[in-house]
Amino acid sequence: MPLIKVVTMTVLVFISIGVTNAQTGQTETLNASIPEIASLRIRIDGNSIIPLSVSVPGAGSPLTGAPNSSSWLGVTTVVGAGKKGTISVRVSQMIPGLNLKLTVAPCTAFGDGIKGTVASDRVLCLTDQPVISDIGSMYTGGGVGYGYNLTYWLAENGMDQIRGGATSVVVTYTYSSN
Amino acid sequence: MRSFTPAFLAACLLLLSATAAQAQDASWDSHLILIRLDNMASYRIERSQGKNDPGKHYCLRITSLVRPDETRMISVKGISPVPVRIYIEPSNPEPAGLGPMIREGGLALKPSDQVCIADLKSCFTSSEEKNTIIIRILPDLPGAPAAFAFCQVIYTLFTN
Repeated sequence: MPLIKVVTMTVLVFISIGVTNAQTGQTETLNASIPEIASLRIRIDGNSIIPLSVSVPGAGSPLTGAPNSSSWLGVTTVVGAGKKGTISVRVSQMIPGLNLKLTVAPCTAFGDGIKGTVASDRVLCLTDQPVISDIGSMYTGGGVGYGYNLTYWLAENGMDQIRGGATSVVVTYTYSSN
Repeated sequence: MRSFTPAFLAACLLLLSATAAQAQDASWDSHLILIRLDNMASYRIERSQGKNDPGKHYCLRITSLVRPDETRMISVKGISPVPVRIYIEPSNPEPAGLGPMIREGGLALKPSDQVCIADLKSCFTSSEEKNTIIIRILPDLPGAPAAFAFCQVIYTLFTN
């Protein structure tokens, strides 16, 4: 019996301490403001510049452009309540007689969130065109092999206007939300 | 139980907003594409094989890509035991970039080069026979026999 009393008293003392601590604790209101976030990063496998060219399958045939799929678009977003994000693309200049075309593949499995819907093939132009829409809060992972694979190629669009030489084109991806 | 001090919370919020500001700066990204177009020309002349008068004419297929300051031309020369003329019919529709060519009246074949298609820029005809440039070589004498000796014709593509 004395042992039971000692145990009972010990338990009561611990409960009492816990209640005292709980009663003396403070309640604080945490106002966490989470801003909208959009971070885009393009990774290119191997080089920092994507090379493109055309070839001739045979005499009399139109030029064909070999596709280049060495670049990946990694994205992290936090969208506001009721908002959706869109990623658009534009180029710095057009190539006479050629269309620079883009295919954005659906996002790889890595990551989480609402990764949006990719558009069908685009002919890139000087004005922004949406290529991924209905984006929610998400992340895709970064680096080669993560995110949205970008495939570029050239297609003939007015052979008589095409001239040989080297031209550099800047391709810009921009995130916006509404 | 007190888990966070006000100072800790303030530091967290500051870090979060700083990260957000940095992320907003990176809401776009760009990269460079280098487009390299090598000047080239690929052409082929072969006897017709289609259903329309097979073997009676030649088909010229050409794909050409020129630099801004370049033009090309195709010349013809040859030797024939009898006078012959060369007639060229452009494909229909005529490809843009294909310069002027000898038309009605044809061109009398000579041992020296004569331009038959001039001012050729970037163009392609077609790989299909029905849409290629047609070349006919016909006797230049009224009433000449249908069959005559071999004539050798050489086509050369020049780039200026």
